[in-house]
Amino acid sequence: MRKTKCKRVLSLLLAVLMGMGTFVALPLSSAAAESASGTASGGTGVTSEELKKMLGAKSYSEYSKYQPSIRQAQVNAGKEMETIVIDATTNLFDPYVPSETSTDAVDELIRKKMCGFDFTSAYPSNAVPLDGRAYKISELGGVSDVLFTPDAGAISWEFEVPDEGILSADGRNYLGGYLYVIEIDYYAINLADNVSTVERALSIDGEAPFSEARSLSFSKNWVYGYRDKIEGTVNEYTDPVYGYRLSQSGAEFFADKGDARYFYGKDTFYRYEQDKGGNDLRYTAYQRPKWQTYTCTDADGFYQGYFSFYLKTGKHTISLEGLRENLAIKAIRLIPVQYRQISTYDEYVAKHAGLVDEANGAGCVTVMQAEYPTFVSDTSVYPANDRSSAITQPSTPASQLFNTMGASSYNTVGQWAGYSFRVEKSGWYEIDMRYKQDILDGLFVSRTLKLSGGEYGDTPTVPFKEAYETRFDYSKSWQIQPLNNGDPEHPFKFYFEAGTTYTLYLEVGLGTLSSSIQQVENALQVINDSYLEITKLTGANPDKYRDYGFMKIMPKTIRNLAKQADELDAVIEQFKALSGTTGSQIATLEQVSVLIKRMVKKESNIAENLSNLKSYIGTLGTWLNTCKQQSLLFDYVIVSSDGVAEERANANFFESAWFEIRSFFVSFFVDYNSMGVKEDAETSGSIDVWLAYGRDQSLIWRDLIDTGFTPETNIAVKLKLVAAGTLLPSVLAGQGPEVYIGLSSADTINYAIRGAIEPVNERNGYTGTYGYDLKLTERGENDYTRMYYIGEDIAAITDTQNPDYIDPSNLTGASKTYETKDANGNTVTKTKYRVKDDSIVFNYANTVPISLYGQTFGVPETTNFPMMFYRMDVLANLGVDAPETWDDLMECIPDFQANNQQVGVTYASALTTLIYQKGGTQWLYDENDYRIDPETGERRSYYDEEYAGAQIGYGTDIALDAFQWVCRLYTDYSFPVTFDAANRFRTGEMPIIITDYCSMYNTLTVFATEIRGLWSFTKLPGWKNETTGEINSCSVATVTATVMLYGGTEAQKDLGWIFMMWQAAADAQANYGNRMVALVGPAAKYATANTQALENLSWTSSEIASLKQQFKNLASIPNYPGSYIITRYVQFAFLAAYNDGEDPAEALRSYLTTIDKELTRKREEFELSTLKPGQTPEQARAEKAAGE
Amino acid sequence: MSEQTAVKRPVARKEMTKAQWTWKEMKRNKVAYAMLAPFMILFLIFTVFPVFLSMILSFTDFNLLEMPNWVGFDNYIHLFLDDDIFIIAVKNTLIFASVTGPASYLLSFLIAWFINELGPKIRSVVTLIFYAPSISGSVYTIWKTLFSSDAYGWVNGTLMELGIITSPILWFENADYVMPLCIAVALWVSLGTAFLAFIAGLQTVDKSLYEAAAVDGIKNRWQELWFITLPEMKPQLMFGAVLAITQSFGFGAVVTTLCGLPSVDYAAHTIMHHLDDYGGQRYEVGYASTIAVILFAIMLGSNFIVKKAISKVGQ
Repeated sequence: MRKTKCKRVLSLLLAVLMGMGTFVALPLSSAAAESASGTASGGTGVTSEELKKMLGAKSYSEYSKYQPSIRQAQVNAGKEMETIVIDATTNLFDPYVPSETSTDAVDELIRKKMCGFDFTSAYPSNAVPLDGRAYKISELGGVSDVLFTPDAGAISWEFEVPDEGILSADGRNYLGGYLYVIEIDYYAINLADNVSTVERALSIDGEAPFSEARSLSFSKNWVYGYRDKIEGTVNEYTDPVYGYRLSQSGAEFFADKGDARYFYGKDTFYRYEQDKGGNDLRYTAYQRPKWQTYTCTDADGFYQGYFSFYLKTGKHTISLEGLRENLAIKAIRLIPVQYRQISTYDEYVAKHAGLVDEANGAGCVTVMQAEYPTFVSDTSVYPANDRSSAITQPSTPASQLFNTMGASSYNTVGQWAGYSFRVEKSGWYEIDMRYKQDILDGLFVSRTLKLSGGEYGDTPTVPFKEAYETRFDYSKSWQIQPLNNGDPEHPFKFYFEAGTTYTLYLEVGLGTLSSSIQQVENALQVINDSYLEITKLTGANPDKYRDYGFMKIMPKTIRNLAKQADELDAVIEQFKALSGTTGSQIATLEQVSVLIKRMVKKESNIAENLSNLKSYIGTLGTWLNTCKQQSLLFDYVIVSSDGVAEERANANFFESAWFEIRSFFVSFFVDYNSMGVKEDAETSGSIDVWLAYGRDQSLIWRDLIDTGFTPETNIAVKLKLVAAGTLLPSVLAGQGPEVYIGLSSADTINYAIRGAIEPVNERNGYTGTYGYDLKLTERGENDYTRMYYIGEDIAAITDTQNPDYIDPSNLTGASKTYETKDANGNTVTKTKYRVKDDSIVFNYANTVPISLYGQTFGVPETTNFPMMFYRMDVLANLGVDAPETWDDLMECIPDFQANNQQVGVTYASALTTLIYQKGGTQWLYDENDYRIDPETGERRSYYDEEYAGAQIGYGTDIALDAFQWVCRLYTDYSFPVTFDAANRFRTGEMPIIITDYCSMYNTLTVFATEIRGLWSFTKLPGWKNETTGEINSCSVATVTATVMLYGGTEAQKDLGWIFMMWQAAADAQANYGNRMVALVGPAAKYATANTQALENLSWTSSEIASLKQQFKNLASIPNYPGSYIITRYVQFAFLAAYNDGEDPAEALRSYLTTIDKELTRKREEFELSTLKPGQTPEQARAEKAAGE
Repeated sequence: MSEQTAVKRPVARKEMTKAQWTWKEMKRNKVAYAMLAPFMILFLIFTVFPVFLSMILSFTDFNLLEMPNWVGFDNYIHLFLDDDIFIIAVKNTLIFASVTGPASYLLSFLIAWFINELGPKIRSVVTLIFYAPSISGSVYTIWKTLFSSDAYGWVNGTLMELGIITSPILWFENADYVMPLCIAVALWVSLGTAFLAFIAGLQTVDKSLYEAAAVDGIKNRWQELWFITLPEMKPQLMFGAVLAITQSFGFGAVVTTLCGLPSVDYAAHTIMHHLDDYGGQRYEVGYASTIAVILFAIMLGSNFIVKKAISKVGQ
């Protein structure tokens, strides 16, 4: 009886559901089938057409599908073919196509100080501008007539491919075109010490031949400036050749094995400078630009060997578009592919077979310590202190010595370290390494081995094909192995000539795994596309009981999806064959493959498993990331003629035990706070600095302080990592630090107004050597604040030979004299000069939230603000451009809704953004308060310093309109109020999300690797002023600050101030940001508030362009007393409108009196002037005057 | 002179002042006091002293960072006469306390009573199940996931799938749902220490009493419960009641986690939240102390009433 009742209810429910299902499905499927035709008004950003073209470009594997036969024909022909040489300055096709995003790079850079290289002094005068932006330079680095190209805009050259008259492989007809390898002679210009690599997009005849050509990276050349400690001072710019040996027999230029720390320079021994505790100090890395040859290869490491380009006979143009960094180009060469064939190892051996071999049995050994590379690809390749083994060279229990290279700092494809060496006798050598690879469990990591010098020429060259696949196997302990490609019994042998300087480059590559990883990446892309296609029909929550008819509507998509399971299976097989195990790496792939098979087996399974597929897409993305991280730690490299059988990889039990015991006891006596304090000077004092970030952040700051701040200033810093809530009780107890890093703006003001934080805006530290004068509240013509550095010796600093050269025109303001004691104890008078310096530059808006009534309570440290993230692929599919204005955005919404897509923005950020974009303000009588004067009818400033922030500004028409408009987004357009941004963005359900740029970028980078390259972020949609037509797209920024706590002596505060200035300057900020990325990964982007530092962080130039655009367009909300009450009641008002359908304006207005009452109460607490309801400042003043 | 000649005899209690007598007794029992000292010192410093300190602070305008100024009864006057939100908070607190206090108390007892009937092995398993929510710290955040405002939240998702709602409900941001939900969560986590105490109490009841009572003519389980079980475990009942009261009055963290501070329209704003609001967000510790003193007084008062009520058990 009961059972039947249940059944009845169930069937009724089902019927209702099915009815609803069909009802909903009808308009939906028709909408999905239709191609959306709506286009928004054209903007200056990337249009959907361009996007489509970009996303539609084929991959290199597709591009090169038909190449083998042509290559064969070219090789077989045996005919001399012409190399096409394009001179960079004479073969220009169209001198320069300026792009919208180009910066005023050249002008700005010429003005900047040049970093001490000989080309710089001649540079400005011999640079002839070509069409404003590209420059012809008559001489650069010893080469004449070269072309300087900035980091944006495209430059094209023309050339002609001759008819070589070669028969095709089948011998029937002549080839219509030939395969060429493209080489470029370049010089990575060193203008700013920018760490990012040079990136260019190559196109032929105006189009990228394949997608990989859109991003070619040219490496720079960096050297560590080791400081000599043994004799004399090092000239960082001379060319040291390093090397030393283990064996006793040796030529005089090798150092002794006994102290493996010293290495050979031309005539001096160099090593890292040490502090007084015997710890190695971090070197400074310098760029050493030189003429190099770049051969077009894959920047991602998926394709080994060089790209070959198929070019038909006739005229062509080739263009390089700047994506990142400046580049000087001498020539572009198109070399017929047969001249750039990479030989196999056997061919290599055969080629050198007849040469003299004196080394065999002679025991020739050259050792290179990993921590002393000759060159590195970028500053993020840096040495490390390893304490995991007692026999890592060198090791002491007490101090931190650099003794290894690698791990987290050396794991991204394209990074390399180069080691120069010479051998004593000509002959065959093997190269052994002591290394540890304990990250990729069950797999191996790869390096691409390159050589330069001697027969290999100046440019790092792969000696033979197998060198791409140099393998380092997994083990928990240290290993010593000769370089090999999977078989340590048969290592690579290299032929080296005596006396020639070779350089060994170990470049991070994907090796044997490259094709598998690429296959997975491609598969992931297809799976994700299919997922998106399916959700367009079903929505993200499909009804599993409904028959969607996938096979009828999207047979191709389903078939494609099915194919991916086979692809993954193939990869699994490859992996099994390679590693011989079935580790966790393979399990992930298997899971995905099984799921796909299940889904395509039965149509009804598709809808049911869709959410599973979504989560697997994420897993697969993470898998890819792990596999691409090729982490390797190594201690030394030995070039030896007879192997290194006697060397041990691991310490024995007694060595380890003794080392650990000593380490333990010595740890009681080491003063970790004074690390970096040099022996030759007394410390100038010591300050406490606290920060409340993570351990990684604290370690990096510690390191930067030890190697940068303390050696420079001799101020010891006690850096403490504290929990976020620690500051308040410690201030209360009078135990606070001098400086605190990373205090939120609200807390800063809360503490400041209660007298716990020092105002810094008028702090001029004229004591000691370092003095800073930071004007923080000045709203200058450039809308930023400046820093003044006080130099000592005017003659020295204006000497152009000085690396710290300062342009005399930057000396501004009055000089100051002060008295000090010289070495003999006599009082001398010295003069200091105020110098304009651009190392600390903030947007004015960033100082607003930490300022109150003319005082600024700290230096902005980080800033985060909403930007617009958008899915390029989804928008391109819909034919929609990234919206420029809110109106554009609203126009897209019907298109989105037709595809079950939404726009993600929280009401709070939409509201503040809109109010400030419309020219409104949150606070009455503050700097942003412009309103129409009822008497004159004109818009005027209502700014009143005394009463600023005395009342809420949400009662104004602008604010009420904005609030109503925002509420409508959620009530009428059903924007979701709560959502998981990253997930919905990843699946494409939210193609547009407006959120804080840095956190979102970081999340997407690690979390949503499968959509890498498919999304971008740009400035916010703006509000178009209907009368003027101007678009205001400002974004409301939040700030954290570095603050100085109240209390302590003036002298201590001066030291603290010096630290704050060092910490906020571009150098430290950029170093910190880049270190974070190197240590934690690309998801650790740092949201620095210093716009100067921003440029040196590892953003691409298009990202930088967007960021700079938004940086210029910032607003922020001052923290007047009582600000907490506003967010609260605005939320209440919003929820009343959303939940209960109340009129938004009414709801908000009903709270205004309550808010004002609380503001008044709070202001009375701090004895600030208050306003009665409805009173204006003038009336209040009049009343006050009358009262007196 | 007379003192020298007087015969030494024990001093009688009535010949001394009360203080003298206490001092004497203390000297006699000094070992006991010494053993008590470590706890007493800590208790005085960290529990009693802060209570007195906050009573003093309630007459000042202390802001956590600056020297407090004496403001007399200003804080109290403002609290009672000028603070609308406080009235809401008192109302909410009373609702909370009167619903969750007795309900959780009864629930704890009933469940403990039922579980007590089970075999020892099953009993320990079931006890763990009921006790788990309160030992595992902030496990109540699971409710935030269940009742997430996201369209993909468990409840929203299910309801939307069933077609009951068409757009997600902002469960913890909607004044209509906040209070009932919070009460439900409060009951769920409240089966804590009191519940354990009850189980322990039920175990300690002397079995022979039941036999004796059966002989004396107890008719049913209810009578058994009322006349034997409950009076036997009065101390545990008292303990549980005190816990229930402090819990229901001091109920704050859960609501803050689920609904934020303050909850929408102050719908679940209790005195505890009001205290947090002033002490934490507005840095008005003086005023917050005033609120704390009032809360303290309310708790003390209700403890007194409950004590009276429990003494009636079994009569």
